Amino acid sequence: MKKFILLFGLFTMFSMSAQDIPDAQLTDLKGNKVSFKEIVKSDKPVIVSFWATWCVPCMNELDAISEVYPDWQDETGVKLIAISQDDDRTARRIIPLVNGKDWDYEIYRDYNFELKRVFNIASIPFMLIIKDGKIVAKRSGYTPGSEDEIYEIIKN
Amino acid sequence: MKKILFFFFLFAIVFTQAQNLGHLSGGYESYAQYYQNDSPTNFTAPNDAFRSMHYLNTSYNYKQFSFGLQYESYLPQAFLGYSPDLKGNGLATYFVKYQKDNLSVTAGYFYEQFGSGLVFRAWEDRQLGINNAIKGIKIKYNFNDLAEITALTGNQRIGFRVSESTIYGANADFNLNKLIQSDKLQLKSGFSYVARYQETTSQNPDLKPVIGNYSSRINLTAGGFYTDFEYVYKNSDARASNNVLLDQVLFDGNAWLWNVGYSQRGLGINATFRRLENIQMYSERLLEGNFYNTGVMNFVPGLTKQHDFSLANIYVYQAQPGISFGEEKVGEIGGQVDMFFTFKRKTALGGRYGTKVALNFSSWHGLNARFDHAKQIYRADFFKPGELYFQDINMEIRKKWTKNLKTVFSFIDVKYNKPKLEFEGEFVHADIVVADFEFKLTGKRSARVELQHLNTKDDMKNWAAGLFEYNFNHHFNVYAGDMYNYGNNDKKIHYFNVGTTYTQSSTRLSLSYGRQRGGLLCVGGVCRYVPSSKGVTASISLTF
Repeated sequence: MKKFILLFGLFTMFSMSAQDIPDAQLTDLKGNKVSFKEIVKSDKPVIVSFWATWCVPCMNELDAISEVYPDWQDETGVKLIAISQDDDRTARRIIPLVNGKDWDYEIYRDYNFELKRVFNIASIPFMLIIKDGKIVAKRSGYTPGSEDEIYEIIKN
Repeated sequence: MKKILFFFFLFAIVFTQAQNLGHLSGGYESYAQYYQNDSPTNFTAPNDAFRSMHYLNTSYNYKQFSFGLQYESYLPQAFLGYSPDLKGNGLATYFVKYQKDNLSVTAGYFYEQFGSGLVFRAWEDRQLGINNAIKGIKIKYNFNDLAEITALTGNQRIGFRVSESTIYGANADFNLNKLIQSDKLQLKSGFSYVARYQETTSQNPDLKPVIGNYSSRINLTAGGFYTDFEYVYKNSDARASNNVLLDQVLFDGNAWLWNVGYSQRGLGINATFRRLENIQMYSERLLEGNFYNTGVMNFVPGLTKQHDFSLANIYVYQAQPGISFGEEKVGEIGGQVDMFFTFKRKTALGGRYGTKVALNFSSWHGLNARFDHAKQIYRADFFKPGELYFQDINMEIRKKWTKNLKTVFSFIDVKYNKPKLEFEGEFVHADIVVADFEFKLTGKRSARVELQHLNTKDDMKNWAAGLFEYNFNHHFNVYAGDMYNYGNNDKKIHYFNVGTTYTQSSTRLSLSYGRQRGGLLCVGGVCRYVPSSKGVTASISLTF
């Protein structure tokens, strides 16, 4: 156990230093394989949202952002990448739901949770905010209005 | 322990020497529960009344290499309803992965899914207590996006041990677009073979140690239209029930899955048809039908809407892929239709902010089959459905009224064949209504009120439920809720729950106290039976 505590401390120190963006394979909505590292490459801020069709707070968050998204894009050039954590029970709902909701996001699927494991995410909604190729913030959960805090991060 | 030291050492070297530090991340999740005796539900706290479960994992990526490990503790054992295999602590999984250009090689524990998972899926779901990773070797090679080939072999994780059997398989996914050269049309296909090798002492000479599972798939997208089809076949195998091998008569199995959908901006529709006949696969024959999903090798989810509200989760459907002569069941047939649309803002039905509607219908029947109990054989029709197992017709309307008020209304009509699905009770027909109000208050404060009612003359009769949640800011909230079967004259019970959560960036803490209703807990279409209980629960999760 002691070793783990030590390890834990070391990791925490380590993870506070600047980190590369790790890679994992995702699939787009047509089933093509894409690299996570490639799709988040941008000189503008990138929001990566881990969501699922069955996750109510995820939907609330993405619905709330979709209302202000055109303004955010005009002001910061941000793009939001929504990575679905649906497995094959609900994956067939992704396309109709995204279109039905009229969302303007880039949507990908994390087939069998590969990317979720890379970031060791325990629960969704979960968000990464990337600026200049570095992860500058991680967020878990959603409460009404917390999208304003995301805007504060990407704006600066 | 040697392995841990090895990793530790490795990390340390990389940490000190590397100029480019790569990426390191980790996560920690911990749950603790204290059980209390509860007379209304006849619940007696177990001897180990305090139980906790901990998961620590880390992964490190450096250039072409990645490493990872997961340490699990169940102190002194896992919660009620989890597999008794989960107790004590130990290094649960670890891996080394090498990836360069089109090749990736993983050694150690890995997860994988072929096709929709009907033929093979190894994954982790902590809420369900599922971690059926394979310990062995996996190789993946991508041929210039024309094809991706995967080959794997190993033993499946079962608690802190691995399966007696050896699993091996291969999968090929072909991208036929490159051949058609069309922008409008996308065509893909895939094939899988997964086998389980397990020695047997059976007297039946037809029972082979190698049982193969085969899948073929095709997927077509053209503009807003898309469709996919999968067929799965399983070789003849013995069955098992309550740890007893049933090997006099062997049965093969199959599954058919067909999906079709169309969508454009503001509208989406999707329909799925599925027929299952004896298609559940376990990594050891005797594990068949265990309560904890231990040793499952394939993913056979119930294809119904996963509802979010507590009363809508009393009667939930679990897929019925297996054979039971006693219950005269050999599989299931049915389908599901989903429709999503938006009434645009500034229209009569859309109002100021637009209105979002989701419709869902699902209906599942047994296969229509004739049984010869003496010979222990059956014949099943292909298309003709048998008895109704489950039906759900539901509508959800989401609407924002003002800047500060959002609502969700949900109407659900459910039919649940309890005698066939739970081997007890009566057929249930219930109607559920839910109203959910979310208020944004001044500053960062907000509140949510959830009101639910379930109306039925059957089973536990009428229920009412309510939940109040108050967010002091974006970090801290409290909630209180209750579910009450007020319509039941025999036994009325309040299933209350109060709790609080605190969130700071990616760290979450929660504490709750309440009475848990016994029943199926389903995540991603796979269910686990959770016994009725009462007590205090605390959890923490963080990533670094």
